[in-house]
Amino acid sequence: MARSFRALILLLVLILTGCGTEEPETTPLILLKAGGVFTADGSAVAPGGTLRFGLSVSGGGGAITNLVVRRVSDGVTVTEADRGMYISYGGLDTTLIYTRGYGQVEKWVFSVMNSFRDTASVSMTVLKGAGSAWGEISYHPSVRIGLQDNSSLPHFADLHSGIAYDGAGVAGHESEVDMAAFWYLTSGNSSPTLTCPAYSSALTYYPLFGSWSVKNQTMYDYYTSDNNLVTPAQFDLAANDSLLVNAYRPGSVSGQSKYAYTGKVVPFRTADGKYGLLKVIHADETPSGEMEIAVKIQK
Amino acid sequence: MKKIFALFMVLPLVAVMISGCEKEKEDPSVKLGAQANTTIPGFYSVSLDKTYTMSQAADNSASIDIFCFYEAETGNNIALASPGSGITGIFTGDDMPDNWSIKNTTYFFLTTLTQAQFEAVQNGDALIETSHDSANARRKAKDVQVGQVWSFKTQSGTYGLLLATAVTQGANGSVTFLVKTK
Repeated sequence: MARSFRALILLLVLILTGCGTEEPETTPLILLKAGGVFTADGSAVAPGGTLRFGLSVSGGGGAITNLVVRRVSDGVTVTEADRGMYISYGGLDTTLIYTRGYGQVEKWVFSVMNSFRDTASVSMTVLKGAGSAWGEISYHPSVRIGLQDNSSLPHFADLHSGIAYDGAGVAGHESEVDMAAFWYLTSGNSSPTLTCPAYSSALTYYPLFGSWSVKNQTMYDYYTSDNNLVTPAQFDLAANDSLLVNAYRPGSVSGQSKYAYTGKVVPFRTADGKYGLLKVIHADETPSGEMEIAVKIQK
Repeated sequence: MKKIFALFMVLPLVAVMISGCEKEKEDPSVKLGAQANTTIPGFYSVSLDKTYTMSQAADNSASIDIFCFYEAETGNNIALASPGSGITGIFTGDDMPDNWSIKNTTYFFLTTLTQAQFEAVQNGDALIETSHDSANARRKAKDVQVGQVWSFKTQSGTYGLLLATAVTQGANGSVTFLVKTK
């Protein structure tokens, strides 16, 4: 009987250990698209010129979980984007648009990671072209929006057009909304705050965002704002998109920007890749108050 | 009696052991014979992932997207085309594609993808579609070489990539490839 019992135990061990599944070997794939609409490896683009990168990404057997874009300008690396995602089927096909900076040589590195933490990268070099190609901007000198409890002013701003929508009028324009604002106390400090439809905590103040199929993510450069790196006078003088692009520090951005007090200038980048600056003309520090901003944004 | 009881206890466990482990995967390769190959079917349905002899294909012409043929003189060598490609003088007999009422056309484009890159691509990836250059696609995949990755688009709009893994030249030759589709 003891022998049979031992045999049974042995069999159970074999069953439990014999069919072990190993983690699959996966190799994600990331390719840069070629063709006339995309920036070519080794091409020369003047500062301010548009860089257009087409990426085709496959998870290689795992879900795509992360895409990182780095610009190495004359040896200095800046992370332009670090996006978490979970794409388990169909891969990723996307076009990224950036603006050529002042460096002599820019190397662009695109890296992808899958759910097995396997990675792949692809890179290209963009040389500095002659002259400059800074682009035109749109200027909206006064955009007034209400803070969360304001019932008389609209709340949802399209920074491209300078139009603000109220809760009823925004129907059909959800994909155009880049910004909203609210006021709260954070660590005991009064904070008029910029937010955007894709920022999760914005739902606390604007539950309507939860029902939108398109929730734009505007990224605000809080570092430049907090440290007053762009003054209102510099904002007023900006006549092309040079300051808009160069003021934006992609390493210190968020979908929410606190302490947007009167006089602050906040660089931002919209979901469709447009760089801009907003100047806070006036910000109330009460939930029923309002915020008036001036906006300069790439055309 | 105890032994018989123990045997009945153990047998199901052994059965679980034998059947529970993952089966060896079948070879997903597609092998197509050229026009004079009498052992390997030469016609292929992408949507059904199924090969046909010419007579079978004639009865299922709506499903046929790709066939293999050999033509040395024109430099086509072992090549892939489709019933709607207008290939003439290759197949003979009543069942030849010229006589079919439905002749699907598939377009091919030779990509720069490597074998390793092909292997990383998953069925359904957008990359399968974006790899296809419609402006430069042709109705033949000429002189298919081992290691080449061709993109294709079938008449019904299915995009695919195929990696050639073996080629045997000659009218009785063949081509073997792996397919990924979107």
